[in-house]
This record gives sequence, C-alpha cells and structure tokens, in this order.
Amino acid sequence: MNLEWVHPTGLWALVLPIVLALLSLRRGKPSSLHLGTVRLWRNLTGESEGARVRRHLPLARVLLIGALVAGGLALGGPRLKNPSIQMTWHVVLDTRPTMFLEHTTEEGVPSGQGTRLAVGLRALEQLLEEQNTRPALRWSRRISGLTRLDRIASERVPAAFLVPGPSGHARSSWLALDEPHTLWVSDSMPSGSLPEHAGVVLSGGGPVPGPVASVGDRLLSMRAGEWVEEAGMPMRFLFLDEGLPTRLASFAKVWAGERGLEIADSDSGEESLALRLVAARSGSGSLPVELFGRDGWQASAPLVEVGEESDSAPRPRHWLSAEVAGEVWPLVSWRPGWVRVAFGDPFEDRSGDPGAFAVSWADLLDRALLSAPGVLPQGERESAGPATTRAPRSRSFNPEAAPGAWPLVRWLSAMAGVLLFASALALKST
Amino acid sequence: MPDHPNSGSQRKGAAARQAGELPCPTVVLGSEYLKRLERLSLRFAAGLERREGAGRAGLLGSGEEFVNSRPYRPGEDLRQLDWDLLARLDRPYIRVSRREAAESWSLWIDTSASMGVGPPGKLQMAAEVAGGIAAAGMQVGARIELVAGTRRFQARKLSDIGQLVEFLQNLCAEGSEGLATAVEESRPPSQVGRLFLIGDLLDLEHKQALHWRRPGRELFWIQILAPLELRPEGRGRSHLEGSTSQVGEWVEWVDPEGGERLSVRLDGSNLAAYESNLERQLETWQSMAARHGVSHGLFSSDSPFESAVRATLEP
Repeated sequence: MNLEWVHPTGLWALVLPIVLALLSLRRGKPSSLHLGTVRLWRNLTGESEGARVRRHLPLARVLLIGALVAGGLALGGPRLKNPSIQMTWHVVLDTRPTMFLEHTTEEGVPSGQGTRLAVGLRALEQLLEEQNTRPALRWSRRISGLTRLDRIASERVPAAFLVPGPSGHARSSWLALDEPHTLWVSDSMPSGSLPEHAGVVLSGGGPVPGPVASVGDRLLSMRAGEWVEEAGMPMRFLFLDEGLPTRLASFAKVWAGERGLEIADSDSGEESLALRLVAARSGSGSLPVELFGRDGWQASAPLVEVGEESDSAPRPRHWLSAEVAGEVWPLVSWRPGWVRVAFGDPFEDRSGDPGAFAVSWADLLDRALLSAPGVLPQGERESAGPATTRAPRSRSFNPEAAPGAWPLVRWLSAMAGVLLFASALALKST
Repeated sequence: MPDHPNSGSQRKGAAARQAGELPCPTVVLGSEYLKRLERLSLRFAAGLERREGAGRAGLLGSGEEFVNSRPYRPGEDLRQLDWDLLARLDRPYIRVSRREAAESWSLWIDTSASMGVGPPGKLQMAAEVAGGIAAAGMQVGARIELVAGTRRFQARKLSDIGQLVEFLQNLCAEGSEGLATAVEESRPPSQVGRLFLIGDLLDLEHKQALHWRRPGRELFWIQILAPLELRPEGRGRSHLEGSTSQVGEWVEWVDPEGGERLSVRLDGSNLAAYESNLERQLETWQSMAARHGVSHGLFSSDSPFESAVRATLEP
C-alpha cells in the first residue's frame, strides 16, 4: 500500500501493544502436562490445534492490544501518497539587469561567485539535489515587470533567459505567482515577505557600485557612498519618424534636448539609439477624425489603422486608445526604446492646456527611454540582502486538506475506540 | 529371574533420557515398600489358613476340576497322567486341575510411556500392585511370572521376593508398545490360571483384553489412572504444582506416546465433557468385565497399593 506517515514519531506508540502482547504470551503460555487420556480431550471441541492455541490470550487482552495497535497507527498519521511519482516545479526567473550584476559582499566587494544570477542558479541546483525525487522544471521569466509564462520544459535554464531585460518592475506583481510547486528565482524578496505557497531562491548580495543615471555625455555614479559625476558618455539619439504629427514631433525635440539626446534622421538600429518614436503606416488611408486624450489633455486627429502586431518583438503596451465603431483602436503603443503613434496631422489640441499635454507625453517618453549602457536605477544597485532558499509547498502540504489523509486516521481512531469498548465489555463478562 | 540383571540401570537412564520430560518414568521401591509388602503378604497367609480351615478353596480354586492338559515332565505323579491322550496321541500328558492352574500366575505390566504420567506415577503404582499380587501368590505357593515389555521374571519361593523387587525397580515407562502390543505378539503359557493385566488399558481394545481368556483361567484387569487423568481440574494439578488449578485456565496436554500437544481450556463445559467421556469409557470396561466374568478394578495412582491388591484378590 502506498502509505506515508505525517507524524512518524507517533509510531513509537506501537511499542506498548508489542510489549503487552509479549508479556501476555509469556504469561499466557499454558502449563505443559503429560496425560494418557489426551484422546478423550481431543474429541471435545473439534477445533484445530492452532485455533485453540490462539485463544491462550484472554479475549479482553487481545481486543486491548488491537485497540492499542490501531491507536498507535493513528498517531503516526497515515495517508495515501499522491500517485504522481515526479513533481514539476514552475521556475520563474527574474531577468532584470540587476540579476546580471556581479555578486558582492555587504561591503560592496565582489564575492568571486559570479553574477547574482549565477549564484541564484547554483542555489537552485542545490535545492533540486536535496529533493528525494528531482522535480521536473518548467521555466518562465520576468521581463520589464511582466511575467512571460513561457513554461519551457528544461532541466537547465534556457539560454534565451540569460539575456538581461529592461530595468524596473512592479514587485507586487510577483504575488500573482504565489502558488504551490512554483519557485521564484531573484536577488531579493520581491514582495518584502516570503510567499505563502511558492518557494524562493534569492541570491542576495551587497550593493553594486556603478552609474545610476545619464544626461547627455555625463554619468552619475554612486561610489563608496558618494555621488560622482563623470563625463565621456557617448552621445545617444532619438529617432523621429517622418509621419509623426508636427506638434508631437516638435515636443519630442524639446524633450530630447532636455534629456541630452541628439535627433537622428534614420533608424540605424544601433545601440546609440535611446528611443524610436515611429508613426503607424496604413495602406487603406486615413480614417475620420476622432477625439481622444488622457491625463487632462484632449485632442483630435485622423486615425491610422494598425495592422497585426509582430510576434517576434515584445508585445507593446497601449498607452492611448480610442473606441471606433465599437472596437478599441490603439493610438499610442510603447515598449522600452520604442513608441508608436497611430494618428496624424492635422493634430489639434482641444484642451487648451499645453502643460498637461507636455507632462503626459514626457512621462511616456521617459518610461520608454532606454537606459544608457551600464546605467541601472539606484534601486537595482542597492543591497539585495541575505541569500535565502526555500522549497515550494506541495499541493498536499496541509495534512488536513490532503485527499485521503484523515479518513485513514479517522478509521483507525474509530477502530481503536470500538476495540477498547469491546475489551472493556469482554473484561466485564469474564 | 530377571532376564537382564545387569542392564537395569542403563535401561533406566536411557529411558529417562528418552522420556525427557515425562514426570514419573521410573519406579522407586524403598524399604518402606518392603515393610508394607511383608505385612500384606502375612495378611494373605493368615487369610489362606482361615479359608482352608473352613474347607473352602478360596484363592486357590476348587482343586479337583480338570481344566487343561500339558506335556508330562519326568518325575511327575503318574496318577495325573491323561490316559486317554496317551492312547490317542501316544505321548504322555498330565491333566491339570484347577488348583494347579490357579497356582500359575502371570502378571503383565504396561510399561509404555503413558505409564510415566503422574504424579504419583502410574508405573510406580503398577509395580507396587504387581509386587503385592506376586507376594500374595508366592505366599500361597503359586508360580509367578512377571512380564513387562520384552522382560520377564519368574519366581516361586518367597525368598525370590528381593529379586522380584529389583526387577520391578528397573522398570521404566518408555516407548509406545504397551499391553496391546503384548497381546498381539506374545502369549502366556497355557497353564496360567490367573492372568493379570496391569496398566492404564488406554491403548487396549476390549477384544484384545479378552484375547487371553481361556476356560479355567481367571482374568484380572487392573486399570490405573493418574489423579490428573481422573480429576484434571482439582487434585490432579494440585499434586503437580502444589496449588489448585483455576477453572478457566489454559493447559497444554502432551500425549507421552504420540507427542501430540493439545491446548485446552479447563472451563466448566470442557471439564464436564471430558469427565463424561472418561466415565463412559470406564463404564464400558466395567460392563465388558462383568459380561465376560473378568475381574476389573480402577485405581488412582495416588491410592495405597494394598487396597488395590486386596480389591483384586479378595472379591
């Protein structure tokens, strides 16, 4: 029978009935006497010899021993094992740039163990080795605050996951993954406290010095607890597409100047491009003018129909939409390093509040702006705290909730009670 | 005379080893027994004088009734010659009277392992009773033959009593061959007038027990059972363990001959059923004895041997 014991130490209680049975058998061993008239006794009851020998123990004692055995087994907490032989863990890997920083001590000195990611993966491997049966793994990753549920089945981390994603993510969004058989691999606790069901492998690590911001050709770094401004940063560019509304293109140029970016005429695809602001193209011509807006501004412009999104690039997020003939049309979509506008000229501001328009669009462009190489937000360079490893909960962790667990215990307990009662009755009757 | 006078102690030791856990496999006849035997012998001698003075044959039979014939031995009284047989067979035969037949006694003692049950041991009681009967027989001038398994002893004179006791002392309860085997394989001399079967008779069929019955021969069944066999719930066990057994207690009976072990509970119903079985068996022996003119006596091995001897020889 495929049984496991929730409280194996409870089985020590079985010693009591065993000792009682041994003592009883020792005491209950009948006197052995020679007799010439055995033949006369043999015909009395017609029972087999074995049956009569078993009855050497008084019935009350046999029942009492049975009750103690049932009780001892119940104390052990037997339950049926889950039929699955091998579990599958869903490993969610944090791929923020901070995971690719060198692992350091609390003093900010390199620990010599490689990146935080390497430390985390080694801890994961150790955790897997510690399991009785090595679980199968399915891998997903978090990119730019979102979890891509790839669920790639692989014993090792997929090579595609070893590429740093964009900075920044919403830490609270990890909580959606707080499930049994799920394991988070990161540098620090995303939600501040350990998840209830999911396991964690946190690499930890001390602060990592380095640039945290860039403006034009200047870098701002934190070194030895002090801010240091350095020059020599290569120039970066903003690409402005030709089909953009004139008013928007003018604002973008002002914003680029403020951020120390040059304007590029062509999309070279090089790393020096910090942001691409592109216009949607449509072969079917422009649609009628619609009114749209957000963040306190409102404008009207002819819309451009957007075709199917490509699956190769990360799926863009919609910043601004309009409802056309009962359907939602994306007007402004973005992802890190890329903003697409699906409306054209004539673009007219109907709100009369240029400040609201500027703040709203500057916020979008700032979010889409790629960081300069080597630049990470201050939060990602801070100490990740101590390393922590904890296996994920099993779905049947709670014995009370485990299917088939307590019915066995209840049966044994009930049996013990009935046998005890019967033992008392048998004792009384003799 | 004993057949194997020097092998007695060896046989005894071997039997004790074989019997292993048999409680009473051997016989011990001390000086006290010899004194009691002498008193018993004198008592029979006095009784004989009284009966002969009164003109009764008593223990010796009627005297003039011819019951058998036997080959003539040189020196015998020719007046007893059977002239008819001489004429027909051309060989001399002596006519044996009841008196003469009665003066040849044969005592067959069961020495199978079941006789080692006790205490007191059944074989011990059988030996004591056999000694008493033999002494009484010698007192009246009978020829005595003792047979125990393959061993035989013959005596006629009272002076042989010491050897007779020694023969009895060397008996051991062993093996599974009892009186039933003796009946199947042996045969007492034809002139034996009194034949005593001494044992528990548990292995003996009634037909076998009657096998040696002859005209002019008296047959005696002396049945000896241990207190444990007669009263398993009471004094039987108290003799063994010095305490009374409790009703409801379990006990394992061991068959001394087959080795079979049987665990039973000494509760009321089992004891009643056993006693009923035993009573039925004993009643059958008694009725068979009465029907065929056999003298039958049942004795507990804890009873004095004198009472068994008197009950047998003084009907």
